[in-house]
Amino acid sequence: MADTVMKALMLDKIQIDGKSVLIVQHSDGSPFLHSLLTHSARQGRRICLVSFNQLVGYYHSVGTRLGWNLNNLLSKNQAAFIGGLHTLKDSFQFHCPSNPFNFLFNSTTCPLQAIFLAIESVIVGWIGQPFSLVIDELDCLLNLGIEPKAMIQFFQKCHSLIQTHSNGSLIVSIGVTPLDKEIIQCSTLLSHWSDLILTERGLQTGKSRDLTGTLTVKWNVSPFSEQDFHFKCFDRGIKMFAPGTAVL
Amino acid sequence: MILKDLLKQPLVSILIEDSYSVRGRPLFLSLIHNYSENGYSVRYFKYDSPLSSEKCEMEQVKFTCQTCILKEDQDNSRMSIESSWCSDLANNGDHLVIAIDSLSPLLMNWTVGALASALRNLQKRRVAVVALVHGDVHDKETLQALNYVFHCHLTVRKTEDRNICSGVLRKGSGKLVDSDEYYSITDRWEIKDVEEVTKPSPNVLVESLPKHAVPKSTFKLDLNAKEEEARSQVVLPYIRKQASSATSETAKGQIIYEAEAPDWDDEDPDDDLEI
Repeated sequence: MADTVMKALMLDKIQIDGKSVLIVQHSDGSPFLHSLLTHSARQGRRICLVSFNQLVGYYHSVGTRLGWNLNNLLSKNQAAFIGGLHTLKDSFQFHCPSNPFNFLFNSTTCPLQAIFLAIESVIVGWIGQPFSLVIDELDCLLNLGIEPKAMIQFFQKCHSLIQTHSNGSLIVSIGVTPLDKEIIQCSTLLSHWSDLILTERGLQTGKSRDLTGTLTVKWNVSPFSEQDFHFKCFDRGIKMFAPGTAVL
Repeated sequence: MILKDLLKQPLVSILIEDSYSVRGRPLFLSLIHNYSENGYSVRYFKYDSPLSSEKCEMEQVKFTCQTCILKEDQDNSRMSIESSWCSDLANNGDHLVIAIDSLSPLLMNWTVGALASALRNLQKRRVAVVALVHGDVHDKETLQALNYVFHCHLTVRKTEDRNICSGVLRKGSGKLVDSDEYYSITDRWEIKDVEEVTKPSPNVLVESLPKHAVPKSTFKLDLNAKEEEARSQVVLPYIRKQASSATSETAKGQIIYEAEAPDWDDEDPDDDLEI
């Protein structure tokens, strides 16, 4: 099933090195982020996974169903996990200056600088090897009180890190709600800066037994294409359909 | 035609507005490439995060640029950006174009007023400014405020696989000129095939129009040829009178007023009141 997803995204023919992928989620869940994680793991790429919402066990559990072992990669230093929940809990207790979430207690320091430095220290150790920097649910930063301009600046820094090392790729997912103007503004601006934009939406008519939602795939670089798909999520992957062919 | 005129000479300030669905960066690059080929010195400032293909694009147009990420301290960032725009202006004379790609990150960090002030300082030094802005990122008020700063506003859109540039030019006298033009961009970043968008005429066949407004009826409502000729020879009475008065004096409009005799009443109107 992972192969059909990569074929639909044209990532079986186009190299992901040096490219940025933005996943805009209008519905809950991030099935395509897990597909891209699986794709990176199978290609032998190093993975730096940054999450503000989930523990490492969640990604390991989903990855196991999709055929790859995150804990194994972590033990071999082929993956790194920068988790927001534990570090946030520690920052409340210890007020450590190097804690990435120290900005919550010290408004004079630059927010997200410590998170970026933590990412950079992981990436620097992988110079010369292909790697993927995956940031899950970037919109969580706005819920922590970060201003949109700081979030945009953080994205630009991560993007420039990828482009400095030509064999890296940036995969960012961002959840969007129609009434949140700030997040819509940020996601639209990031869409201008990303090579590949995947827009996940639920069905307009509600829930369906045959389909989970719709996916729009837009390439801002060659091949400059825009395609719509329907998809259905299963425990062990995603099936993609051309619109109207799900029940065939 | 605004785009065609812009290709000959840059105006004081040009703003190109695009959206996520129709990118304006190719037109932006082509314009500044055109000015560069025509002897203008171009200084390119990039504030957007570049796509993976933009490195090759910049090599093709032969511009050097470095992506600038705005710093955390807003005041320092603004001062440094303004000074970078205005540095070494004296040596470049009047043939300098400053290209800003794009204004959207600046608008995320600065207010519209601060950006407008910085751009006006630049325009006072008689420097042509060509800027790109992502119209779908900002609200209408912000984009309208930018219209007061830029003399020329170009919006790119697509219809039937053809690129259209809708331009609004504010002249020095205050007059607004607008135009819609088709355009295409070659692989060498040249703008070609600039032609005005003409509205198609309605496809109405003259033969299908009815010759008479008289509805079809079992009664004879229309006139035969003899009756038509007799009617055409009838002179209308007011035309006859106008013709006769026209012979005596020059025909011109006048109002004839005959004052009526005053109708004075000798009776006291309040006579019936018992005060």
